[in-house]
Amino acid sequence: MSEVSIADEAFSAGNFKEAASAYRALCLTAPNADLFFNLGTAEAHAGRLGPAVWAFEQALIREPEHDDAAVNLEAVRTLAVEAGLGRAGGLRTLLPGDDDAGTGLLTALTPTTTDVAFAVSWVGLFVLLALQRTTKEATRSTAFGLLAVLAALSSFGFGGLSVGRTFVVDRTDYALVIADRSRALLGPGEQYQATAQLTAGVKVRVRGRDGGFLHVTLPDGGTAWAASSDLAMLTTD
Amino acid sequence: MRLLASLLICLGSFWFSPPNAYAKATISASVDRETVGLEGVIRLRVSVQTDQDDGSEQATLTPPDLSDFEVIQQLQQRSYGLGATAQTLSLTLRPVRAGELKIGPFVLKADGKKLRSQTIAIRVTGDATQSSTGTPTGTPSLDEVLTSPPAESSGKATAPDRQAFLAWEVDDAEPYVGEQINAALYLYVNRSIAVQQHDFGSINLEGFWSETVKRQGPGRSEVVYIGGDAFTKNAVTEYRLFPLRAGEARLPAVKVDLVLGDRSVFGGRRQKAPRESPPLPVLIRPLPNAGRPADFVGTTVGLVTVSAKVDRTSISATEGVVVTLAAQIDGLASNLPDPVITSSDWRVLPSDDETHSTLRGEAVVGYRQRRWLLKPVRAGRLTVPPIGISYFDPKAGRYGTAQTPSLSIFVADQGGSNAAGGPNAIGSTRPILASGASLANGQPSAPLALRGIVRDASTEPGSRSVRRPYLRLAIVLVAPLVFFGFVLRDRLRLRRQAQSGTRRRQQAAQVALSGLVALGASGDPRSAFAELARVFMEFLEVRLAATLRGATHEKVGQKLRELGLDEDLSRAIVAELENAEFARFTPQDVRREVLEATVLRLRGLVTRADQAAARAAT
Repeated sequence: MSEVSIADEAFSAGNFKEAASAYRALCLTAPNADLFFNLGTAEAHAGRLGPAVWAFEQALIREPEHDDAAVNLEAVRTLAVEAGLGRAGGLRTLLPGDDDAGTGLLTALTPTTTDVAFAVSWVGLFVLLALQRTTKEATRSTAFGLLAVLAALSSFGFGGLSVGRTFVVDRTDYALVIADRSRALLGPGEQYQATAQLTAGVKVRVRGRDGGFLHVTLPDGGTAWAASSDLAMLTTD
Repeated sequence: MRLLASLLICLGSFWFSPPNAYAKATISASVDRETVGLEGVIRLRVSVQTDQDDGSEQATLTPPDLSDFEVIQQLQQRSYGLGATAQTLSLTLRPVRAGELKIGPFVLKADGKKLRSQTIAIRVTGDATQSSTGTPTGTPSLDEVLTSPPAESSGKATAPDRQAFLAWEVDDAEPYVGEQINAALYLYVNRSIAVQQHDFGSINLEGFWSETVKRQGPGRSEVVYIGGDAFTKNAVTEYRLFPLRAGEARLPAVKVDLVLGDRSVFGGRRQKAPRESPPLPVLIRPLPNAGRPADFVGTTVGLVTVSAKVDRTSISATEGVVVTLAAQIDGLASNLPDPVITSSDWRVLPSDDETHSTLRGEAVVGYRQRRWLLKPVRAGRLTVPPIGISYFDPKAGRYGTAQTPSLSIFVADQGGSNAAGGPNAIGSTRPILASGASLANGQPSAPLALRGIVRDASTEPGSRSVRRPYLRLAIVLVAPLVFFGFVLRDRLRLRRQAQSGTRRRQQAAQVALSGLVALGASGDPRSAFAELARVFMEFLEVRLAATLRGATHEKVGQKLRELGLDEDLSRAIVAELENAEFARFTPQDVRREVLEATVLRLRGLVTRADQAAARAAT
């Protein structure tokens, strides 16, 4: 019986923690979108929301159009938000979901959608310019000209989104809070004052590291330090 | 009574006759209630707003006849803004008889104009014998303190202390149980004096629930004039209070140790000044029995609105639906009762609850969100029954019930299209956590619907999503390259056409000369003349890039001149064309020598025309 089958069987039997361990081991040797998706599903059923969100994010990094991963990620995030609200104490609580750190527009569309929209509008622009050159009728020429302007604007917009996503989102180091809760500190150490509470599934941008603490940009734009043991990097490594 | 009315007149004259007068003015009057018992009081507020204009004449305010009322309290305030002054006269009136009474218009004379406030109708109910009672609460409030010893014969109000004093104020002296009242403890300090420090102890507000809500911005501060002295009136502390029981409650006397000093630049003299505010009784009215709904519980006082929603409208029999009720009350959130859902179709599991309060203006608004997990006990089209909350609206003085609409949920049985397997049902269906199963660490018990795992997933390593940079680059480059390729091709074709026309024009003379030589050598002079005319005309058309055939000789001459050929040459060409024409129609007179001479002349003309065309082109 293959290792995948063993993991699948454990999941079928309702041994979600065991299944998650098996999928995690497989992800180390053969990281792909489906295995991360399975890992996330098993973690979610085991009640570990942070690792589940992390695994679904890893699946989507490898396959942004993985529909099942997107659906399960949304469901687990909703649950994580509810859990975070239930634990909200005196500190400001940051919840998952609004964690694009200002890149919401860039990630609103999938890369394929953006690329196809850009290609259609870009090619359409030159087709319209060619039609405008060849037509002799003034009204039709004007219409082609206006459509060409629209196509140009559209192609620049979608092109900008695509380039922005490449340089702003894809090249940024993100980490996810995998602990049920973590504290955002003023400095790299537990002796520093906590400014906020991070709940499982919150995505942060990593700016640097000092010992066992990561310097991060929080979803609300502020910066803080968090214990690296509470976070997991979102990378393909 | 008449004394007090005359006092008002004096007061109005005093108050509304500052040295500066008014370019523009507005006046308005309002009362806090339009229906009152004989034992009750009305607060009348007259507001005058003016633009200051120092050069104008004085303004005066004349009150209406107030003989139907006893004037209990009076207070004047003035505040300054950018180029404007707002002045307020507050009167506390008690009716002396029952019936429909009227407060006539106050008249403001300013800058030669008369402005009138609106007439206010007051309905007075109750027994006239009650009119002899004191103030409604027996309150030695600030206003009463000001008016109780109308010491000066001028009738002006006086302050209890010309240096500094404390006083409570409430916005409603007769609230219902559970109704919000705003109470503030004010410190009045003469403007010539500075308070250097003060120390308040804790204030025991027995009989009230005090709701603490964060307020934006600084506390209120204004300048008021009492008995000819200007005081700075500062709100030392403000409370949003909710009376807990009917009867008389009391805002307590508050002691404070002030340290007063003068406003000297060098600090000046300092003086300890203990002060104590008088207590302020508040009469708490019980909630009326008339019209009380059967399900009214506790002190749900304040207008209530409710809404409800479900997270899904279609579930399987093994799933649950989360019902969320959002209730809002114009009052205390904790006064909202605990609503229940009773239905034989559902098993109602324990809910979570969340309340919070915000401030809308000065009013506390409470919110309560309650959630239940409902498990169906049967399949089919089930209904979540309406959820209602009964309340008492103190502003309208009546009870009401806020109710949500019923919510319809479709519950598919296990074999239905919506049925999903348990956690073991891996595959294309979505595994659901067991009924009511909680996630770890106290997380919510709402059912978790997740898509199932991918069975026998590949163990080939994947990679980060490739953004296909080469494809994007190709799309970016190919479209414009193709377009500009077409543009280039069109240009080349046009250029080639232009070049071929030039070449033909350049070679036209040679073609014509060789044609003429051939015709001259031909044996038949009669047919040769027709060909001479054709060859010569063709030369002219090609060389000059013009259409000449079909035109009269006169038009041909004119066209040649327009194309740059000189007069002599044009005339010679036309003459030869006429000559050739003539020869064509008189072939019997044509001899060979004539043909040769004509060919010779035409060759000369071709050479001259070619040179002339070249000159015209340059």
